[in-house]
Amino acid sequence: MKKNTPIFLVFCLLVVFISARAQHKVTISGFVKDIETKEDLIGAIVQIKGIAKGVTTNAYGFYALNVSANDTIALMVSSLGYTPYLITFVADSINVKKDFFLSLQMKETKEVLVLGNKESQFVEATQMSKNEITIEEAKKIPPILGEVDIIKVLQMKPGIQSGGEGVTGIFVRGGGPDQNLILLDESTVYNANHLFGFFSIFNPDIVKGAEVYKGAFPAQYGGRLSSVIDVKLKEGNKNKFGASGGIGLITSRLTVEGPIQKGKSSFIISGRRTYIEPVIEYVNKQNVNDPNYEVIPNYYFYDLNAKINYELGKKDRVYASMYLGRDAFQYRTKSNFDFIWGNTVGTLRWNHVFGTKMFCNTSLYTTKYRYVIKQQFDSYDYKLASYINDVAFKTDFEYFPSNKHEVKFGAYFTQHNFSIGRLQSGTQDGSVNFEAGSVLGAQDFGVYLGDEFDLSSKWKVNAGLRLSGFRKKAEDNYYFMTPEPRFSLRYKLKPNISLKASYSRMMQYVHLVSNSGGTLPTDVWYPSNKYVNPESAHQVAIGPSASFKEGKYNVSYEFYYKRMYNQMDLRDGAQIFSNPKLEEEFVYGDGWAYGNEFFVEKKKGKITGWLSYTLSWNWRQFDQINRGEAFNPRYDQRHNINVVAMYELSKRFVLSLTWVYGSGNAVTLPQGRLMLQNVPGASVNIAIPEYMPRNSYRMEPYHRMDLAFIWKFAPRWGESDLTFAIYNMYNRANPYFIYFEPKSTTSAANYKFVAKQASLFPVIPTLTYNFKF
Amino acid sequence: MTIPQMLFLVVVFSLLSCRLNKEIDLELPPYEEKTMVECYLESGKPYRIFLTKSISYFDSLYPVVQNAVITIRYHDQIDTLQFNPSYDTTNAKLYLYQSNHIVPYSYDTLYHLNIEEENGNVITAQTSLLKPVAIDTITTSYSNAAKGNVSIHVRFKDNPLTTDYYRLIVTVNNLIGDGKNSDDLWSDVNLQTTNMVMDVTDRFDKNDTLIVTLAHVSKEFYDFFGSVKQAEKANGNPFVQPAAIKSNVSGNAIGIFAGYTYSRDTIIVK
Repeated sequence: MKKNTPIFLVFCLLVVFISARAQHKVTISGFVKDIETKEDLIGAIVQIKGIAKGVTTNAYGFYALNVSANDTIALMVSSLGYTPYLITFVADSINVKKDFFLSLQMKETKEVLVLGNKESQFVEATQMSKNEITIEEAKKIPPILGEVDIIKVLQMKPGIQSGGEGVTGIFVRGGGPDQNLILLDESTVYNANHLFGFFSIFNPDIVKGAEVYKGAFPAQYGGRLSSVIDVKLKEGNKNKFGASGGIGLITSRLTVEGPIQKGKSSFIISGRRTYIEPVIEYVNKQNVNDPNYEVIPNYYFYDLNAKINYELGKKDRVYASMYLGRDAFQYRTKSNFDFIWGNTVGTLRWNHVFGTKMFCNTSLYTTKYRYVIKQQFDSYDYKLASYINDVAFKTDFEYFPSNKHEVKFGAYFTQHNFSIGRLQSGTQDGSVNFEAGSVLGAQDFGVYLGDEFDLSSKWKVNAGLRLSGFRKKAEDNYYFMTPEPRFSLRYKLKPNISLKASYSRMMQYVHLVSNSGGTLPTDVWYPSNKYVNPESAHQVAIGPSASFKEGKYNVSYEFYYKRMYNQMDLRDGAQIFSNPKLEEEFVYGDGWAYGNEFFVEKKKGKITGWLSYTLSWNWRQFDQINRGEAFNPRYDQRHNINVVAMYELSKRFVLSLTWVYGSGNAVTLPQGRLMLQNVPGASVNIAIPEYMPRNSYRMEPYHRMDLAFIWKFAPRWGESDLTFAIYNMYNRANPYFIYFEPKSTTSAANYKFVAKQASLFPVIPTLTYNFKF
Repeated sequence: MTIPQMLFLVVVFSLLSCRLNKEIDLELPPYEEKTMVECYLESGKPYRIFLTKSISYFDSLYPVVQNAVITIRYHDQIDTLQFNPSYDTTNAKLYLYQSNHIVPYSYDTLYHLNIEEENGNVITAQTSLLKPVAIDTITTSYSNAAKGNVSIHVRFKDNPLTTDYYRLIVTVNNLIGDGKNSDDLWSDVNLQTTNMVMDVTDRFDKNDTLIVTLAHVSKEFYDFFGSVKQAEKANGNPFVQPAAIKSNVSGNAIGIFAGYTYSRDTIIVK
């Protein structure tokens, strides 16, 4: 049994609470909110005017700032897109609570204030390897097939790849698609995709913004090797009722929000659904008499989000939220075939402020991802289903003992339940009946502690430790316990330039079993156990960050190296459906990835946007694959370039353009072929491919340009816009996969073959109407 | 229809409207040819073998291997197969080397194959025959009565104490078939039950005469044909990981040397 003893000593050393606080300091704390909607503002800056040092609000809009008692204080509060708020007052001799309300900048204002101080948080913070996007920014970027998708926008940031044409999933710094922890308002989401990954489950009308951590992971995050994608949703307007929505090519959306008790509580309900079924049904009906017609399967997906929140007092707030999303394929032809998958998430949260310096969020949530495949033919029924269902509890504390320290600590416990490849098959009369598959249970638990603190005006450190554990419910009570140290360092070369470095160790105890190059809804989550060791990774990163012209331009460069252990793959010909001994189908290996990420962003002015370039290498090595030789995974991209530009032509018109470029996917093609005559009674196989070493052929590069033109209206009842977008403007036939077809068939033994390339999406114009009142 | 096939079908349907294909020039790396061995031992049939060379993907003709010295040894007897091409019209199969001896109905004999080619390449393999498993019943059902699509269900007794591998081949009207043939591999590794049913869905029509062959095969046979199927499926299906072919022959060769025992029945679809 593998067991790591907790390193309590390291824990103790990290407890660097500053008890010797200067007695003449007092703490001002509270929340920063939008003045209209009373929504919390995340990442707002609260600072003493003229002093570079400030604090930022947390995910719930909370801040705590220490000031000198009895002094006259000029406090500046600012947030992206909001008019800064300046207040002068005499600090009391006792700690005080103060909430601030910011109003959106007037539309006439040309410059969007990013930060109130010259050195932005981009330079100040120890945090590196992080990107963020607000929904307001995402809505200006050309939508994909008419759908604004915050995940697709994140894929234009450095180090985050889409994987190319038709490849689903998110690939971060060489990690696989299952190595991303996706959080929806604190709750884990196991499959954030609709339509095999062409769209994410995040309805843009309810999303507030998203952050992605690619490295330098803060101690509060864990469970996946490669990234944390933290998506925050809106809370709902606490002052007035409103609605927003849109009609697009693929879906329609509607969101309703408003106060339950004005100023204190609110609700928000948001729905989105596709409406292609009537078209499919019409086409199928028109061809019902055509014997050669192949029936088009019916398909739909929908999302439903609902949230309420309530302020119990100055110190307590509670939230309840749910998400329900489903994809469904129905194929009604020779047999009834139904394929349904989706997530169900429910979350309860409680915020409490202890005194003026400690904020606590406690969450209790359940999340479930499930797929079901049902098929019926005559008297035979067939049903295959899998799910992962978590019930989780976590509590997170943030303690601000002084302006020099921000301490975070907490604990979590998750009960996992896995149902893997449950197969039920048989006749309706019961004469034949099969059942297979397995149900497993496991627990995920741990504690963490981290402190971000100033060593001097130039040096700042974020040190933390996460102690993670995992127990697989089994006869032998098998469990793992692993320390995950985290360390980030910032050194200020100049007031606007800093050098950052970081180290993280990450553990992953649940694994996605996939037998395809990308991800599919039928991929199965599987726990670590006696036979399946957890995946682990060490990552180091280093690079400078700079901010110029008062935050108008942000520039960063990072070099990273990541070493991954116990990477899982399936042996050739593995049986992943209804296999009770699934672990026998796994093979294990290591991986390593390294690269350079360059990022320049323009945040202010009529033209905004960014340019990112990633030069990276990604390798895997398995003893049982590719004769033990190292190979590149399919999604290894040597070069990845993203250009995003948004031009505000006037108050009413916005033009935006994106261009993405990625080196071709690494694929395995047949190198030779052989003829198989086969056994008596079986067909001759003319061309059995013999493949080259794994992923040793590079397809053509992927590149695409999208354009959007947003025309805003100001009707008396609210706001609206019409977005005209062109996807794949120059109609690039990007390679999806390569296959071979016979060219001449003069005789069975004299076949000639040609190579063909399949592509998916040509130039596609879309029109979307959005409204809000 | 398997799960990956179903998935591929629904994805392809959803994307078909916008899928674009074009012929491309592709330069493949140089390929080193291998000898392809196919030798199935059928009780009551002569020892015979089909021996060709694999080729680069864009080449056109498969060379046959001549002048090889081929022996099959069992017990203390060594049987030499002569180059004597013959065509089996019943099964539409060509055999290049064969002997006059007949494979016995013996299920405990170990057979050793030895091939020595002119270029010095030596190929060896060994196998034995498994006892055939009898078909109990074959029933039919309609998956879509309006369209006349018929499924068949083949029942047989499986030993729940052993891991067994099967191949079910269904041909229409004769052993060569007319394009509606079905060919499936099956393992009871995860389904230890006495009463086994193998289904073939949606393939047949009313009044078809179906010849059902249930072969009891070795793991090597199962792995070889399983990997062959996966290798075929990966050509044009991005959801399938290309697989190396799992042979049971040694040397610079690919192929299979295996016993092939089966039971066979015929049914007319009513």
